[in-house]
Amino acid sequence: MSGVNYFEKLSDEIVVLVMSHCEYDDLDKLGFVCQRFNFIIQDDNVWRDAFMTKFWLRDTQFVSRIKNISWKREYLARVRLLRVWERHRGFSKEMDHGLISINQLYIDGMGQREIRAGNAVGIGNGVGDFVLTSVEGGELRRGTNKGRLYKGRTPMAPNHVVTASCVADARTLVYGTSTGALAKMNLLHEDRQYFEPRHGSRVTHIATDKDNVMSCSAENIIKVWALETRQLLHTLYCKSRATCIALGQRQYAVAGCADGMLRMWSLASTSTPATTIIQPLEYKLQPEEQSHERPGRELSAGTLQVWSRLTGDKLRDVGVGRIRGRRNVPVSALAIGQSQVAITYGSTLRVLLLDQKSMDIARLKRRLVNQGVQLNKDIAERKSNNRTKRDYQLNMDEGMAEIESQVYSRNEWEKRAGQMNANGDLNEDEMLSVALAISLSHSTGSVNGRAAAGDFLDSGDELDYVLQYSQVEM
Amino acid sequence: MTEENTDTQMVKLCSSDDREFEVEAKVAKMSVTIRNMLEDLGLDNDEVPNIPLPNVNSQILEMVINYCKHHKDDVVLATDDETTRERALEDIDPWDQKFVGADQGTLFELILAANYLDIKSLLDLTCKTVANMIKGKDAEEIRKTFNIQNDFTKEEEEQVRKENEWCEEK
Repeated sequence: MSGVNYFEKLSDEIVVLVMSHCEYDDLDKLGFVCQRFNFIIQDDNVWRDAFMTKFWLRDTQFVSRIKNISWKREYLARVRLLRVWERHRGFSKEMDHGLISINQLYIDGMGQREIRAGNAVGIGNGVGDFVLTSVEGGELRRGTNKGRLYKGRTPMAPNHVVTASCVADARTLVYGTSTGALAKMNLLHEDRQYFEPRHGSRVTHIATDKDNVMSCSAENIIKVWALETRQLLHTLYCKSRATCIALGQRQYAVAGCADGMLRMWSLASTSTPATTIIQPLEYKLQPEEQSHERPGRELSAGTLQVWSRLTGDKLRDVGVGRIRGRRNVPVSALAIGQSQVAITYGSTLRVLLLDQKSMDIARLKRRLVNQGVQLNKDIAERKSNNRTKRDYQLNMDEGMAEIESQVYSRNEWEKRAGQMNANGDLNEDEMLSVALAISLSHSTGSVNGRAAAGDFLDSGDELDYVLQYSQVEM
Repeated sequence: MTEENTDTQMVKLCSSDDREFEVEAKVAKMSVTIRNMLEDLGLDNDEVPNIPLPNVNSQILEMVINYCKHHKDDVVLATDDETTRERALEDIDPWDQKFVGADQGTLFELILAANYLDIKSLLDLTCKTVANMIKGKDAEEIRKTFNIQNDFTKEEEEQVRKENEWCEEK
């Protein structure tokens, strides 16, 4: 063979560096090229580095492993999951967010720029091309749509760890800190004004509409403020930890709670002094227990219950379909439109629409990402029809087992696959997806919902790497 | 001496074949190696410091300096997180693409220089370029591209293939 092998000039260390920029498939092939590459590739650190580069990670401590055997397996597992998703989802887009994991999503219901996601405590539209985020650690950071992140000019006070933030309008960021302080900041000049009296504990959520700000603290006390004057308008008491909050057109404040309740306060009478306790309307998302052959893990039908605000009587139950058998289904995201509230709950991607006047609840026929069934069915069909293609099956099964590994073991999966073949949709709500954000926009009478959901890892609310985006007609 | 002064000051870089290049300190300091050297020297008088770089020849050094000059203003953005990495493989900007578009010999020399001079962005760029040359090729094509000798025996090759079989199928 003629020509120079320039790799010979590179030390193993640098070869590792080159390899860390390779994709999984390429890396895998490098092992066949020559003894030296094969030797280098045996080192799991090479796979770790490549994995970290591919998924934009900086530090292994932020990785929730799905394969602890080796980084190679980890990398493979993730790549496969992505493939399985991409193959079976109607519309899936992988976005490099350049951050560690996603715990916030922002969806622009109106504009062209659709989704922001990040590990920030708050995300929204800022001036011009900016997405604004603030990251824990007390630093305001801004990111552009191109993915660059940089610090704000003025540092926060050292004891102020920003724990929640929200972009109120293109020029104003509202943020809350670990000490309970709430401030609004002009994004152009970065000057701050504080809302008083402050919360007694960490600010956990902030929501805004055009004129008002709603902030929730770790003590589950919600305050509603006037954005412009910083005057306290209402103090609301929430019985359970709020998992998401929203503010609607000066009329309603809504909190989705960890106990599965949706609490809704009417703020319509502006004359109410800020100290008056407003009792919330409560809607309970409660799965009905059903006896099943596997006690403790039964699937059950969920019900959304509507209670009368005046009498406390239960007005009606609305079936919301099968949800995983937990007693309480936390509300995962909500959005308020002009006359409706949209809710997603639990780990499903179902959307409920609550009419604010009639209190009717409609369940959207289509789920936000309506592919869970398809995916499972597809696998089931492969299992029954393609018995000859054993290798392929095996791989697909492994891929599935990995997706569902948090839910049940492989053996169980086999059993499930059989069941599923029979009734077709048993697993649909067990897909490990969480709708993180939902927004409503009204135009000419119709409502468009946009939602994004992420992740194949069932690690509570920590989402990594994959965003699913879907738009539904409501 | 203030920060601005040190940045507009000139330094002389001397290649392995004894050619001298005079560049702004700001540009030279993109190399962590040179930055450390300058700090060790201590810049408290007006004389232009002379930095010998015995591991880099003049052709490569000139290229590296061009690269640093082109990218000297990126630093402001990139320093927020020192680990800010370039985007996806396809994302190499056109100037950079042209820069690393020379022959393989030069490319690998640049890798060595970037590693020695500790210029992370250049090292990433060059490594990524090599990774792109590997992308999508099978083992034989990779060998051809880089003139790598297949030093496996038949049995070894079979063995390696066996070990890896399970991941061959997508």
